[in-house]
Amino acid sequence: MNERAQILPGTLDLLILKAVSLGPLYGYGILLRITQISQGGLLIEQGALYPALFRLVHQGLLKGRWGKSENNRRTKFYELSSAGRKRLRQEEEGWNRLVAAIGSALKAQREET
Amino acid sequence: MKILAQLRSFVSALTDRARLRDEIDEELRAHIEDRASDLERSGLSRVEAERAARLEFGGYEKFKQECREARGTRIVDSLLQDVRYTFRMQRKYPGFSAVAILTLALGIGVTTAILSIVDPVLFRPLPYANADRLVSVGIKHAAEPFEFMMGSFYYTWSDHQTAFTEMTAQSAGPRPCDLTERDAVRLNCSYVHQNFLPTLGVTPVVGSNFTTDDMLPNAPLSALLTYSLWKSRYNEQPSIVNQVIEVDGGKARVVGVLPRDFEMPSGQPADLLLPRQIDVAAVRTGSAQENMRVFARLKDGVTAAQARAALEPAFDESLKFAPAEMRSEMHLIVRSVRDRQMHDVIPVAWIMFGAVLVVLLVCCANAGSLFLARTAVREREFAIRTAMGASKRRILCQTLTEGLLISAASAVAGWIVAEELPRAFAALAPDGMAFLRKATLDWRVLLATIVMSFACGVVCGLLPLLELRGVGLAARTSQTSIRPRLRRMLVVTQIASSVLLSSAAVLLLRSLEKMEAQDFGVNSAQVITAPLSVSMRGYDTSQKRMEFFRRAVADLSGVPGFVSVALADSLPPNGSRHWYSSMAIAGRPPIVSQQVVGARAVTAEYFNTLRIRIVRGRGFSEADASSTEHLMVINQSLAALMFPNVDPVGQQIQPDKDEAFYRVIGVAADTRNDGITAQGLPEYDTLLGSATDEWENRNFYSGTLIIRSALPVAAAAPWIRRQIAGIDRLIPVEVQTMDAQVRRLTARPRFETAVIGFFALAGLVMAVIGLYGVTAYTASRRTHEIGVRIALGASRGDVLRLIMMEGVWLVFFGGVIGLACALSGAHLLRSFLFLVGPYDAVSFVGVAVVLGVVGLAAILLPAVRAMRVDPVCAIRYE
Repeated sequence: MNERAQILPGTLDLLILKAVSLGPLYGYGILLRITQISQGGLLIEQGALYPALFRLVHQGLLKGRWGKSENNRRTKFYELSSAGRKRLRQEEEGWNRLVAAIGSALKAQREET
Repeated sequence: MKILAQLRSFVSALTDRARLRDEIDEELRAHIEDRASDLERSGLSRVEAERAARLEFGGYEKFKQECREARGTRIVDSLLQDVRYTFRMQRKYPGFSAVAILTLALGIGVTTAILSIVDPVLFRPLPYANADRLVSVGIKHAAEPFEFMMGSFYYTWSDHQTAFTEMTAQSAGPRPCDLTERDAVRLNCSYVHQNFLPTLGVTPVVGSNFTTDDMLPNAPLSALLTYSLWKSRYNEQPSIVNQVIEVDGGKARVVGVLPRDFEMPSGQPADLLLPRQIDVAAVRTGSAQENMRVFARLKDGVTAAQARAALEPAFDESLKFAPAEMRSEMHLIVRSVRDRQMHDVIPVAWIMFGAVLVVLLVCCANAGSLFLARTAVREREFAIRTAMGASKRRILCQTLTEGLLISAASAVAGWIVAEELPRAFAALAPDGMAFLRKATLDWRVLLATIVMSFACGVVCGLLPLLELRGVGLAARTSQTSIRPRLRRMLVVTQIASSVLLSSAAVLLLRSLEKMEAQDFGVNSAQVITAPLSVSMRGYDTSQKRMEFFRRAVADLSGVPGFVSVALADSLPPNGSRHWYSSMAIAGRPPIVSQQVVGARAVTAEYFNTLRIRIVRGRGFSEADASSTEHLMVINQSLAALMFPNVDPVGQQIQPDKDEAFYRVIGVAADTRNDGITAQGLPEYDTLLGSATDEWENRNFYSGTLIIRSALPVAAAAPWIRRQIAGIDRLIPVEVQTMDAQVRRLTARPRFETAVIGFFALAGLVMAVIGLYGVTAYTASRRTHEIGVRIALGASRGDVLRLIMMEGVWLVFFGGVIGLACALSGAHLLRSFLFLVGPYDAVSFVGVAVVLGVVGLAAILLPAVRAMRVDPVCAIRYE
């Protein structure tokens, strides 16, 4: 039950920040956007999105305001704050470095070790 | 920035908790409905779509909770919930709360009270700069309770010492003096050296310290006022400096006023400080005697022990001038001023402190077992809550909150107890316990109280969990009988603690009993005493003093109803002490001895008034009083010491080197002369008659009138006052029965006994309640079992035994542990006990018996109730 929350938070936060960076979005919209931009490659437990959103708001990375969704329901829209934008840049760089490092590690041949 | 945003979000979360909950709900529901709409569009029916959307979303309540917690309010949320819950529980079980709070309040209150009494004794800062560097330096001898110093030693030592930055002295003892300007009053004057205040680090609030010129012999007198005198007499006027006041009829110029909190490091009372004008050269050579109390400030990094070692050579050197037989009995002492001040109070303080900690332990254990009892009742509740998903931590937090809230309430109630108790104690201990009146509740005591109640709260809150930890919680949904192992341990602790306290109390009580039953060798019934003292001013010659005192005795003898009237410089069981070695017997070699003897100067009627038996020869007569011959009566001990084989009557004794020889006219029965607890000393009594040299030799400024009369004190007092006022209106008279005066001597042990006895009683009551509680609890837990047993043919007696045996074991274990602790700690009480050994069998057996009886009663009650159980009801029980 808790395992997911222990493994995912960093990544989920990054994905949310990325999704929101393309324009203000409400919760369900963020879920759709992530599915869309990851080409459906990532499966997110839907409810887990909200604690992450609240956390990011609490950390001052996201700003929330109330508005109407596409289905005309009152809900909360999220957008990046300037701190959020900075954090996204850092996280992206960090992630890319990590991916590159792990990628090159996995590509390593026998003679290189 | 970020922190600010977080704080804002946290605060808004706190202030808008209800709105926040609704908003989260709204947002999450919007998500599910959006999702459902999408699914519906993909072809599902509305109902199916909503179901699928909810499933995909996951644990709704969990995420909602997590959202709330993401704002950082979880702790506050659950805390508020716990507090609300606790309050609800307390309202539901007011009995439990009341008993728990009362128990803890008693424990915390008593401990706080004792702390407030003990704190000034053990930890209070003394009113001197860097007081911990101040030491008292002197010579200790059995003859004096406090270290003293001879003037000649002092000057040699301070020349050569290396351990102190400064060394200073005051004259030994305060001297009564009179402020003789308008409304004459009797004051205490202390004589100090020029560097006395600077060494202590005390600066006058007004004016300045004495100058070196003030110290010169025959310099015009100057004086420092204490703050209270300045306030009461001179209205706190700063213009007092350089004003001239009249001390003992002489003029003295006020140079300054001491700070409000000033006190003499010797602890002696002082209203006026006067410069000790000494002819230093004469004192150095020993041609002038000077008895001093010496204080010094340690150099940085030097300890009292090191300072003592550094002074040792000088001490050894000086010792060569002391009488040979005294040398081995003299020791050098360097100790902190606090140790010196509190020298006989510190053990009492520690004993009280220890005892009260035991009381606190008992109270805590009692409250703890109350909590445990309730846990048993709430087992199901805890089990259900665990099953519903409450985490262990959550339950822990909740019981902890309960414990802390109860203990906080107790702390408040305890604070009230603590304010009242020292007053009650002080009322109990009339005199000689001045330190009781210094009891103060300050922030340090408050802090200790808070820490204490916090600890109690934590213990009470956590104990139930210890109990629950043993068995899996899930097993508790059905009623199972848990063995109250922890409660039993607590009860054993309580019993052991109360046995410990009771033993101490009984030992003290027996000692007090012996003390009060002491025979001083005098018949104190129908004896009225009145201490009298004259000032040095009006009575500067021994002739004047003799006339005053002799007239007082003569005038009072004429009062109707006064059977006989005498005067003595001391009253049994007290007396003044004298070196046996400075005495001499005519026709014998000088006496070489370490022995101390008692000395008393008395008027002719002394033996008669106190009904002291004359065993040989005769006592003093009126005729003796008007003769100029020096006469002496010795007691049986001194007779046995000096004249083991000879008839003492008619022998000639010289009490001191340059005094006359006294003829022994009789031997009196022994009376106490060395305090209430010490064995009496050999004693000689000299006659205060019409020869002035006796009054001169005894330096007789103050004495006690002893009057045998059947009149009650209230009736006799006006007579005495009138007669004395007829001679000198200014002399204060205080009238008391001799019994009352003797009782003052036992005020202190009576106080100690009362306090420890109070603790012991409180401890015992709590232990009994605890014992009763645990027995009643197990009995009720086993109702079903008992029913089955009875149905199967067990006799009522079997049931009674079954329930009682458990309690008996608890009493037995508690008793044995308590007695073992008491016996191993009893030696600590040794110095408080009089004629009772610390391992006094009667006391310990008595405590064991009382515990057994009281304990059995506590067990019997619930056991009998269990025995009467109706098997049919019992089997249906639960």
